[in-house]
Amino acid sequence: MSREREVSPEEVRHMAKLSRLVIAPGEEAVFARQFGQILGHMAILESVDTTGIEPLYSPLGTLCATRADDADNLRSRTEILANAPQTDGHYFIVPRIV
Amino acid sequence: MTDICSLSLTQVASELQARKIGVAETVNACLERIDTCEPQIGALITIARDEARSLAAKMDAQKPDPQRPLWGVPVIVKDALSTKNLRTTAASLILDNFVPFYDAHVVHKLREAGAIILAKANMDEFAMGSSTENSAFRKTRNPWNLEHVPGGSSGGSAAAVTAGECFAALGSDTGGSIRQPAAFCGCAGLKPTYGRVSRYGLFAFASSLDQVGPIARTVEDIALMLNVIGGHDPRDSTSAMEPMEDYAANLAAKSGDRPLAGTRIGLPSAFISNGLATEVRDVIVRAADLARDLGAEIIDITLPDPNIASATYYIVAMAEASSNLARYDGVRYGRRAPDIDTLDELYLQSRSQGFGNEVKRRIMLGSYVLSSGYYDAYFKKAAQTRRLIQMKYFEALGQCDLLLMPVAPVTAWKLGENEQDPLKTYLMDAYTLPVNLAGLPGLSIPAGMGAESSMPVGIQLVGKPFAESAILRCGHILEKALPPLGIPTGIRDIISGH
Repeated sequence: MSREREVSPEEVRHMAKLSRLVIAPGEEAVFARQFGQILGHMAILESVDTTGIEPLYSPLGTLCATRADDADNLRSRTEILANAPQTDGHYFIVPRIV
Repeated sequence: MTDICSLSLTQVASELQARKIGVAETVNACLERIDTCEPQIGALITIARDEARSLAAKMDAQKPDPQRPLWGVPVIVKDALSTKNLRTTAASLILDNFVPFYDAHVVHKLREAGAIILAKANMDEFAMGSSTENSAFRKTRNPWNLEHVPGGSSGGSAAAVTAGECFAALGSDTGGSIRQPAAFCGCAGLKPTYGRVSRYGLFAFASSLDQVGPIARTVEDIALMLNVIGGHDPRDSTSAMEPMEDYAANLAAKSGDRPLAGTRIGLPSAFISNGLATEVRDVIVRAADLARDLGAEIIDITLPDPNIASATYYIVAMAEASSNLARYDGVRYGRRAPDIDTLDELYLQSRSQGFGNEVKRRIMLGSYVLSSGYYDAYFKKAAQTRRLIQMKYFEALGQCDLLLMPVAPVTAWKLGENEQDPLKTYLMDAYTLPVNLAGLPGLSIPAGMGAESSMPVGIQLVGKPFAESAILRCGHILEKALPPLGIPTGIRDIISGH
């Protein structure tokens, strides 16, 4: 029913880059094989005629929820910083950028 | 003396209200069961022992509150749902030490109804999996046979309910993650209509598919849980305004020996004749015959090819996952890789060290199907096919009141059996995931034991949007007429010390 697709180690590296992930060189071949099988299965959709069909991105259809435009201060700085790996008590700290 | 842990949620809630049993007594019974079973079942990640005991003591000092339907009842929550001041990991190393400062909407509703959050349940990492083997922390075992998986991704929730560690649990269902583990463990599980239950505080996997729902030992208990957790929440923009019903009261059946008279049930014969293990097919056919004996009219209906639904689902789910999981960057919360000099390297290493392989696989495929050059061929095509699938399900439900379907093609498999073959596992969700694509409610109830595997088999009842009452009522009638599964064999052995 599904045909396997050829996925190269370069493609795996590209997919990892898009995902902000690094894959160990030894694992690239395994991912490539699995991606080939999974994308091969997905290729079954080529057999579906979707001419003129509007994409459905949510089961509720188009929905635009609005609320009153009232400002609210739901969270304290202390709460928001509580789980951060590194802070100076006021801000999140990351490695030097510039 | 009654074994407290064997009571249903409805029974225990009523005994607590009547003060026939105490809250501390109930909490201690569950903790004792947890201590007995957990070393072998492994359903839980974090146990809130002290918090539960201290809340129980406080409640015992007060009078039961008849306005709070779950007053004093211990429940367990999947670790994908935020619990204030209680570690919440989504079974991922990247959230190993995460302690939320807010409750998910459903957790808040449970507390408001008087429930006691006893523990956080194991799951597949970020709900990605069908066996709970993808947890970064432990593997959960099926209470019927410890060599088998409990299903997933809400496998810890289903195993805990089945083992008597609590009276009900919350799970989340993106493609079958409540219904399939409920079926594998021999309990009941409901994925409500998309929008019926707020997703606020549920760690997002695929936002257009995710829905929170209950797992419990009876349909009556499921209805009671839905009464508590359902309803509009302005903090979830996809939360529906549709009015709630009293789902528990709506279960009241017509008297007589044909309580399903007037109910038209659609049976997709193509699903039954192809692709199911014989022992699963036999149980479903018997359940359909039983429904007919109880007065239902069974009609044959046609539904979209499960393989097409599965390809559509995995494209949509992976695309949404790749976007949702971009938030884990080692900056604001979660694990940060040590000794890093640049921001780029910080993202790369924190994510690569924090996520397990199944999560990485789905993020990478999700990025791929959304990337320029492939977006139209995969993501847009899947979104278009999704509309066709939804239309076909709506058409089928136009001809009947509800659908009777398989939950999974097989019973719970052995640990390790499918770990090396992700595609094989993906195809196991083919009968549950279309229900998420279409946004419909689906109820899984135990219908018998597999003749070969001696493991539970579930059936799935699928309803029209917001017609939870119809599937719960039918499930309740069938459940009463079906032979009970009895005490899970694995738990019986653990308790008797074998």
